[in-house]
Amino acid sequence: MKTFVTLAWIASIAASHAQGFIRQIQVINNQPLIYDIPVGNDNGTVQSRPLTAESSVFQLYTNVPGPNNTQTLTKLDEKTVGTFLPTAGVQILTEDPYFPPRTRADKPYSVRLSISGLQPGSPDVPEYAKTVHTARSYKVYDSTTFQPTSVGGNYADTFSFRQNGTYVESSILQRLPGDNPGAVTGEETFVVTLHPDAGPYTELAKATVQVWPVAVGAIAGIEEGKRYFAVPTDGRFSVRNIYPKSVTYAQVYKGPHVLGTTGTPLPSTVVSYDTYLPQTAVLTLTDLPSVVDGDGTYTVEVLTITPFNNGAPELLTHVSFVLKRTLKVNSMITTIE
Amino acid sequence: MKALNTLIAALILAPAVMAQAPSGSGHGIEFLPTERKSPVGKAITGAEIEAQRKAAEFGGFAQEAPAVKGWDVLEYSDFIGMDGKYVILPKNSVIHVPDALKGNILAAPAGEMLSWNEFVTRYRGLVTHMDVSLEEVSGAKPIPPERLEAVARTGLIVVAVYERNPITVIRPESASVSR
Repeated sequence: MKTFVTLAWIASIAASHAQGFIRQIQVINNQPLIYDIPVGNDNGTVQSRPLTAESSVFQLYTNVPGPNNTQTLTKLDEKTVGTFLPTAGVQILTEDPYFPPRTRADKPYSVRLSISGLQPGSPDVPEYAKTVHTARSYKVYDSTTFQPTSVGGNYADTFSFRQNGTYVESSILQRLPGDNPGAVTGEETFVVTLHPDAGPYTELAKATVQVWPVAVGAIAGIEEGKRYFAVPTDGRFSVRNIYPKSVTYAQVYKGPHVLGTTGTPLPSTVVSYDTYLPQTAVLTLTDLPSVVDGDGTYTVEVLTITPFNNGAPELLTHVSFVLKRTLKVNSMITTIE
Repeated sequence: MKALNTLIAALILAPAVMAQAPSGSGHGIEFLPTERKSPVGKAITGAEIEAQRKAAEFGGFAQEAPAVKGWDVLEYSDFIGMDGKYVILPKNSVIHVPDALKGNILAAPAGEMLSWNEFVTRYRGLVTHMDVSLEEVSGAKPIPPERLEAVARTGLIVVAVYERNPITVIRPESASVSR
């Protein structure tokens, strides 16, 4: 039975050149039949041609501007529609509520897979349409620019499902290659597919999570354990790979370092980010004299508040110093006659 | 002498790629939550992450060939080029190419992409279209030879279209799809 499909799309298409198009792909008698429909707006609907095959794959393409006036043809979305086909949804969940999903290299994430429309017992449904498959792939980002590199591949873990339902895999650890697992950055993608008898796999659903590295901080200009005769004024700290959504700051308290202490924040060191890439910051501890009073041991900590750890500030680095401004001299004056 | 409380903050931001950063970024005490939880320790180290990875089941990395092969746009397209412009068309939608114009059939996209409508309008001296029916595109009914001869006489590259949009024509001698 031929069916018209109304396809709606909402995508970011380069309005200046209107060179997006929707490609409909069907397999008929083991041969691909491809039909290209131009699109010129950011959203709309098209009436596709009748489905003469069991299913159709719809792909949305557009040109994405790049450096040096270049353009790259990019697939924005893909959907498979068919009379016998199941439907699937993949959702990635992390501690960070931001969308698209992102997490940190040391934080696991969860995947929720929902499958419906599988008809394992129906004799009218082709065998390939009774099983959906999942696979996970990865792509490594550059550690400085955080842009995708050519390094990527697939993990060997694949799973097949023949029953409808919702499946959850929690505490998934990122497996991006790298010497230091805490410093890796990239993305991992879960894709759900059908494997038809003829033609490439058809994609039913896909979800990607970005993985950002763990922040690293360092304090300079204040030596650990050193005695100072005046409040050090050359102190500064640097932090790289600051999480895109975070507040980073330095705090001071009297006494040696004790984890869990809430001290006095240094106002000039508070920096907040609400963006989509990790950041780097270098700040000076110029507020230190206004916070430190009296001699004694003081501890400076650099902390960062992220969506992780239930919003608790996370220690990045710390240094303790001794302030002793008074000089006690023991002496005796004698007169020799 | 008291040092100047001049704020010297060097914020080195990573390069932005596309859209502007969302609001909420800034510098100053007003960005720090007034109520804060007690600080927790440092993030786990790379060695600890590696230990967790070893404890969890993992199948490793797949072989070099990708496990999932999709409908790659380059593999399933034909390309016609002229004067640094090109058009992307469904594979096997080009049904006639005169010998003199074989050089305009590209193996891969090169130059600036134009839509089909833009390309066929601009280069009407190079390419034309032929309307086909659904029966003809699916191979259920062959295109009449006299129609093919008529378009060949135009001396132009001929692209099959269905309702003004390019479409594949499946012919009995075309190769089967391979995975």
